Amino acid sequence: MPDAEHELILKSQQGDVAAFEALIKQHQVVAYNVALRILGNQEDAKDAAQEALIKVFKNISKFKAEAQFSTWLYRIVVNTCNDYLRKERSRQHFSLDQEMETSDGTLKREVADDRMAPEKVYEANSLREKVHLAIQRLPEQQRTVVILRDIEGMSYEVIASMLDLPVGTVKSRINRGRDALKQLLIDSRVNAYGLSG
Amino acid sequence: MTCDQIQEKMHDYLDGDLSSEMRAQIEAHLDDCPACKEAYSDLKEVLQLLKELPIEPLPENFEATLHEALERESKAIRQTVQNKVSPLRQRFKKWQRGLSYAAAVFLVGVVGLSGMDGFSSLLQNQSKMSDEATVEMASDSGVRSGAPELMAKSEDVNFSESLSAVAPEEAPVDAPVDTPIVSTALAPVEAPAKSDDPFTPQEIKRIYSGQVSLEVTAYDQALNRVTKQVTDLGGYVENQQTGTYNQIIGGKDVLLHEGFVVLRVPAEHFNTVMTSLAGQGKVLNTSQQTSDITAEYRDTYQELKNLQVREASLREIMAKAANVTEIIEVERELSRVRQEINAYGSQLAGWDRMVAHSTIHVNIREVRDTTSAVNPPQAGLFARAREAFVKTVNAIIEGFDRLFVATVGAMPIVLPLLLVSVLGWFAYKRFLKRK
Repeated sequence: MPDAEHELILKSQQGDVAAFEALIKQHQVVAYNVALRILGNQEDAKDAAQEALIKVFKNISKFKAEAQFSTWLYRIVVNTCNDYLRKERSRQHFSLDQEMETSDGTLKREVADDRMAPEKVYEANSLREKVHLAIQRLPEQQRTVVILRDIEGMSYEVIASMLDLPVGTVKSRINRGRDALKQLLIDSRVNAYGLSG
Repeated sequence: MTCDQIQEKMHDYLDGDLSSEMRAQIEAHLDDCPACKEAYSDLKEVLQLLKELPIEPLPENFEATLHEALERESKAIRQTVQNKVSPLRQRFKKWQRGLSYAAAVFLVGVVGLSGMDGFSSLLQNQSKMSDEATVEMASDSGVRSGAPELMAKSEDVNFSESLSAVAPEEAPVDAPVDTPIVSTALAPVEAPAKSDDPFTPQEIKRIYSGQVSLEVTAYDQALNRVTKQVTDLGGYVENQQTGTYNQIIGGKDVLLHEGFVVLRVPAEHFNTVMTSLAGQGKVLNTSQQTSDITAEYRDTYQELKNLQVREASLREIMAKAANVTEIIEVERELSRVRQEINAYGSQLAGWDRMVAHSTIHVNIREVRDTTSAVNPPQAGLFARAREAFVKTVNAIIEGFDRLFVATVGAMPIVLPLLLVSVLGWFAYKRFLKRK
C-alpha cells in the first residue's frame, strides 16, 4: 500500500475531511460512473454515489491496512447502488409486464414508470443510449460484473475479491451478461426496423 | 469443436486469455462458419461499445454536497475518537489516581483505626448505664465504618457518569460492625468497578416487614436491648418516639412510658431479630409480611435500559443535528428522557434499599408489675457520671495518641508508595516526550 495513501487513510480515520477528499479524488468519478450505469439516471447516481462515499468515510476506521483500499471502496459503492436499486424497484410493480427469465434473474421489460426512466443521458436512439438502456435491463448480478469489467476495465481477480466470489463465477456471469446484452441490442435493432416495440 | 463451444470460448478469446493453439482453432472455425462469424462480430461490437462509453463527469454540486455531509460525519467521528482518546493516557491517569487514592485511604484508615477504637469503647461505656441516650447511631455511615466514605453510595441517580469519573475502588461499606475496621479501610486497591450497573435485575427482590407489640416492665432497658441488638447486627434505628401516660397504681398516680421504634435490619437477620424481639417482653401481637417485587423491579429495570438506549441514540442524533432548531428539539427530548431515567433509577435504588433492610415496627408499652417495689435510683449516680466523663476524656487522649503513633508507623509504607507514583508519573512524561 502506497505510503501517501496510507497517510491519508490514517488522517481520515481521525475525521480529517480534507484528507479523505484527497483520498477519494480519483475514485469518486469512477464511483459515480458505476452508479450511473447501475441506476440509469444522474439524480439517483449522484445520491447513491454520495451515500456510498459517506459510508466509506464513516467506516474507514474499520478498514484494515493490509487490504486494498480501492477494492474496499468500490465494494461499498456496488453494494450501496444495488441496495438502492432494490429499494426503488420494490416500490414499483412490473406485474403488467411480462418478464423474461434467465438463470441469474429476470430481464426487465422496458420501463414505463416516470421515476425509473433514465433521463436522457445520451441522444435519443443513439447507439450509446441503446447500450445504456440495455445495461439497465440486465439482471443485477450480470449487470454489476459487466460494468466493472467491460466498462471500468477491472481485472477478474479484483472483481472476484470485491464481490467475494470465485473468479470462475465472475467469468461465467460476465459471459452471460455479454450474451444477454448482445441479444438485447440485436432485438432493439430488429425492433427499430418497423416492428412494434 | 461445436459451434456452441466456440461461442463460449469467444469471450476468452476477446479477453486475450487463450493459448495460441486455441486461438488458431477458433480463427479457423470462424473462417468456415458464418453463423459463428456473425456471433463473433456482434460480441466484438458490444464489447467495443461498452469500452467506448465515455466517462461521465461529476454533476455540478456533487463535491459540494458531499463535502457538507462529510463535515457532519467528521464531527461525529471526532466525538467518538475523543472519547477513546489515547487509552494509555486515561489508563495512566487512572493509575495515578488509583495510587493517590490508595495512599489517601491508607492514611485515613489508619486514622480511623485509632479513632474507631476510642469511639467504640466510648459507646460501650455509655450503653452499660441505664440512661436515656436517644440512639444517635441512626445514620448508617457512623457505625459501620470509621473511615469517612470517599465514595458514598450515590443514591442520587447519576449513575451513567458516577462510575466513570469516580475513583476505581470502593471500600466495602457493608462489613458487619464487629469486623475490625482494618480489613475494610486497608483493602488493597481494587480494579475499576466490575460492572457499570448498580442494579441487579436477576435477583429475587423481596421486602420483608414485621410488627411486634410488647409489654415490658422496664421501658428504657427494653428499648436499649432491642436497639443494641439491631445495631450489633448492622442495622439501625429509623425512627423512635417515646411518650408517657399516667396510671393509678396502689392509689398513686404513676408515670409510665410507652412508645415505638422503627428498626431497619439487614434482610438476612430479619427472622433472628423478630424471634428475639418476642423474648423481650410480653407479646401482645405480632405480624409479618413479605412483598415480592421481583417482577416490578425487572420491568422497571427494563424500562430503564430501554430509556438508556434511547438516550444513546438521541445523543447520536444530536451529533448529527445541523441547526439550532434541531438541537433544541433533541435537547428537549433528551432532557425528558433523562428525567425519566432518573425517576426509574430512584425507584430501583429505593427498592434496593427496602430489600436490603427489612423494617420492623416495635411498639413498647411499659406496665407496672404491681407486686414489685419502686426502684430507687442507683447509688452513686453522680460519682458514676463523673467517672464516665473522665473515661471519655481518657479515651479521646488515647485516641490521639494512637493516631500519632499509627501515622508515624505507617510512613515506611506510605512514603514508598508516593515515591513510586511520582516516579511513575515522570516515566509517563518521558514516554509522552518520546511519542
